[in-house]
Amino acid sequence: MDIVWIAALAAMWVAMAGMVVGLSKLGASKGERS
Amino acid sequence: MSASAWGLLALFLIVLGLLAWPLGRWLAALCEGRLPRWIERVEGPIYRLAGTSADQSMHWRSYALALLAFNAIGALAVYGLQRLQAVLPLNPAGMAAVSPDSAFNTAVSFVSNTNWQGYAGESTMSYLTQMLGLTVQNFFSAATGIAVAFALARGFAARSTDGKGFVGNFWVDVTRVTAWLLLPISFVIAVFFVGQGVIQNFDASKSVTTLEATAYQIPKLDAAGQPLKDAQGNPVTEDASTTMQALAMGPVASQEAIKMLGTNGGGFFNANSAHPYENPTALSNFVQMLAIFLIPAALCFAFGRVVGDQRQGWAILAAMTVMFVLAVLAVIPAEQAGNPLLPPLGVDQATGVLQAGGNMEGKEVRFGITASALFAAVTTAASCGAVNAMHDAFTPLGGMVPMVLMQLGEVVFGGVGTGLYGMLVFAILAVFIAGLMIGRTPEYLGKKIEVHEMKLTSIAILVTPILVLAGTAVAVVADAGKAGIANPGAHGFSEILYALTSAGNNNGSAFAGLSANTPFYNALLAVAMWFGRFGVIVPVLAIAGALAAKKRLPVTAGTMPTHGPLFVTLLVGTVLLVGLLNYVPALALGPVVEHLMLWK
Repeated sequence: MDIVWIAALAAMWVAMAGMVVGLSKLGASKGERS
Repeated sequence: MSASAWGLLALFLIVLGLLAWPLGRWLAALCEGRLPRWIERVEGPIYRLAGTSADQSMHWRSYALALLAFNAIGALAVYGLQRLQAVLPLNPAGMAAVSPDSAFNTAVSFVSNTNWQGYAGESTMSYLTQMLGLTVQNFFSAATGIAVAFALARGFAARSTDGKGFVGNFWVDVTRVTAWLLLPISFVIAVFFVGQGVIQNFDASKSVTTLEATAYQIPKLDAAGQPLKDAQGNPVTEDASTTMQALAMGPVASQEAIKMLGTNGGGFFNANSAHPYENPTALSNFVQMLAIFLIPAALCFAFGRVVGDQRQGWAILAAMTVMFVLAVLAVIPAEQAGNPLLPPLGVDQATGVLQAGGNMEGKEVRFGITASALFAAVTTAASCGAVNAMHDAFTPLGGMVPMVLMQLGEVVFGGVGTGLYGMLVFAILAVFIAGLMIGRTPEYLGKKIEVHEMKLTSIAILVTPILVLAGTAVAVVADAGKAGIANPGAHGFSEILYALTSAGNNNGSAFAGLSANTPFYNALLAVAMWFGRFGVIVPVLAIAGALAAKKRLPVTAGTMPTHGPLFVTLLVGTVLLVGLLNYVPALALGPVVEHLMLWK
């Protein structure tokens, strides 16, 4: 049973890491590119 | 409001200001790395051992991934401690392992600084779990929030740019905040609490014989452990009686201090700060409220110093204070007005020499109406969630105020760090709206706010309402969600809305009538807590990175001032408008309907 909840925690972590990657590709404004 | 209520509010705000101002100087020094030489000497070897350096700044992406890794490891550690506590030391009551779903919920809850508690501490957690799992996360989750606020402040403060968006070093920030801010202040507060009567020991529970038998009713449960209900949907209870009482013991004071200072809110006991061993006196209650607001208020002053214009910090603090005072002016009179159904039954609700009057259901006599209602506003304005009275027993409007304070996004002082960065996100939205009205590219503290920042701001603001409203919708249609409701009708809906609001906004307080220690609620609320925390932190760090990579423009005649009453009004209006637009329909179905039914 523990493995299910630990896997859920891992999945939530992966989702947030994915958000980090996704937001960094969201597109930067001119200022950020300069 | 009575003169004593005004007096308590004024005294609270004055003492808060006097303590927060000097602390703001220290917080600014921590953020900018201006530390005494002896601290750097102590830290240096530790950083070298860990393979980092105080001068090694991180890109926002690295900062965010380090933060996520740190918190995931923390969640795993808390989960493991709960599951293994039966075979670990410091367990004099022989507590069994916590169930997997409850352990999962609690791990996420304490890592996300929510401290929602589906369990009763004194009958579930060993002393080791309380100290090594929950209290440690009280420190680390608070430090994480402050670290994010530091990163955002650095993003605004960065003057010259290399275009890389470096926002600081997460490991250094967490270490410094924990070691040089949270630990020393918590130690002082814990010693004070012990002086007031908060217990601090490793004894097992003490059984005492009461002077007379106590008769009470307990909810009747079915085979699955769910409360039974009759045909009308009312809870079914059975009579019970006892002359024995078990007095729970434990290392309470040390947990209590960081519980308030870190705006965590998770009580050692189930009754939280209503328990006399957690919050014994009017003075300890006053200090607990101060401890909740101390760092959020001081961070405003620190922000002003870091960005080089203290008026900016004052403006943020002023906006927070205005909204807080408005909430207090709503909740205290609502509770003092009492329940209109009781006077016809002969209940005297008038204020007198011997009683506080008003709605005393669920409140402690030693605190009365004012200190209970003020505490409720403080704990939900900040994302603390500690309670010294049962919010479920507040009047409909009195209970709606804590709910609304959370729904505003925990930016009215807010949690440690989260309050400041949440309010700064709203400030970006406010200058964007002002920019639209006057036809100029919005700018805040010399940083141009462009499309990229507005996308990130929108995500940061919308994540929580989506979690709260979608989660509430799921709970009210699912049988497992409806099974936890103690009171049918509008109040039952309020219980669910409050739970999701509290979880999504990382507050942790509850309308405790909801039976939430079930696999359904443990999973649903954990998801809301996790994404309500980190789903906001990640876009905020992305904003910090984007701002850090921008040049800071000089102030010109065309720059909109963001330190005066006009901007404070605009900021308050933006926060209230966004909060109200998101939640008014849901509030209308819960506390508003209940109020109209009560006062018809």
